[in-house]
Amino acid sequence: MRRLVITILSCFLFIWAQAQYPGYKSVANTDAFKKSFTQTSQKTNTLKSDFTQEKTLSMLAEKIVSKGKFYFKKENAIRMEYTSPFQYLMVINGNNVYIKDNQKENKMSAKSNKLFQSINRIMMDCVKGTIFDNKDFLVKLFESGDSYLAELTPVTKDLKKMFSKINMISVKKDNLVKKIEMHEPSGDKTVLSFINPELNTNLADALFNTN
Amino acid sequence: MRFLIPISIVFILAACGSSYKHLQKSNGSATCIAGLTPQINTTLYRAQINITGHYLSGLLLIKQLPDSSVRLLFTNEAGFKFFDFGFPTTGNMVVHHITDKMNKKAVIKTLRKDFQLLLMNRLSEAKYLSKTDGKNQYHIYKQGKDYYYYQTNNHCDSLVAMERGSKRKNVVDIQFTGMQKTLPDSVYIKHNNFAFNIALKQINNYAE
Repeated sequence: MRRLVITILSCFLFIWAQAQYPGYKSVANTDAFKKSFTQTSQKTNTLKSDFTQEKTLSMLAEKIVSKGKFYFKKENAIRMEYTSPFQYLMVINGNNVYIKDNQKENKMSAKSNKLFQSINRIMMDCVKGTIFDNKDFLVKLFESGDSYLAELTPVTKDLKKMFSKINMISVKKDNLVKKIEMHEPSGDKTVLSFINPELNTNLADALFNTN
Repeated sequence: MRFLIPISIVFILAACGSSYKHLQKSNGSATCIAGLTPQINTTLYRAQINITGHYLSGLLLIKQLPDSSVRLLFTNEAGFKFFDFGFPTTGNMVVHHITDKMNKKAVIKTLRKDFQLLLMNRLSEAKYLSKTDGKNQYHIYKQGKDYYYYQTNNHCDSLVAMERGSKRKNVVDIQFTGMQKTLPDSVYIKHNNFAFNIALKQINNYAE
């Protein structure tokens, strides 16, 4: 009888996981993934990629698409350069943030701004493979034939206000993150897709200058 | 020191001077403004907002919904929402979302009045009067204690300026370009009594 209940429950869980993410099934043992993802991340000194950002506004049935270039350099430096349909530059290096838009340059500490602190932490965790160690999220793992999907559900009050969940999708063959989906409690979402990633190319420190 | 008191009096008198004292009553009509009210097609702006030394930049989306209400949503460039306001055809503005930092009564009230002036929202509910300075017509709408001023040329074929204030004093100016019965290409909302301004520039081709 007990075995029957467990079997039925397992079937329900499997069906639920399939329904939530079509083509994906739940991964119970995440150790193998964590190990391989962390190994790849440890070997990643720099990452350069094009990106597309798609903001979907559910209530307004609107999409805002922007494009640009993404750069990462160990240990904690990120540069996001929006090039279309507007120009905007955001550099986060450790705790320092540098912003440049059409009119203005702005420097601040990531510590003083919860928003940049969150962006910084999420990006770094996704690129460096430390997302499973982030106590701010409950992490569930799903897999399809060629990718992994890590579902991050925020547990802190501040993050819950901003996101209902964040999905990080990585390619199995090279463990590179190809998509980050940030879902908001309102039903809106922002999807960042990384295109043509280049690993360990020479990236000048000047790209990450925040002064 | 002996000049200080007279100089102060001059400054106080200048500050008390009416911005609209020179206007004379005229026989303008509210139908003039009805004909110049912008048709709200979905419009995306690059936005810069300065609120008393705090600078925010991002994207402002304005969209008319099927029920004719207008939604106005401001996010930063990375997609994080600052505020989401709804302007129904009648009744008060609805705050669908606002970040904790901006969630102050005075900030919401100021933004509501500024966008109401720009969108020419709820004018039919306001008391109308018209004046002239000889050159332009002033179409004035009184809502509560606020006066919304829309300046047109005498032929009423173009909107020249938008202002908000009291009966005597100008408080907010909106400068704009490219407003042909649509929302303007660029907008600059300037408060004259404190450091609060909003600059908007339209973005095209944002939904590939």
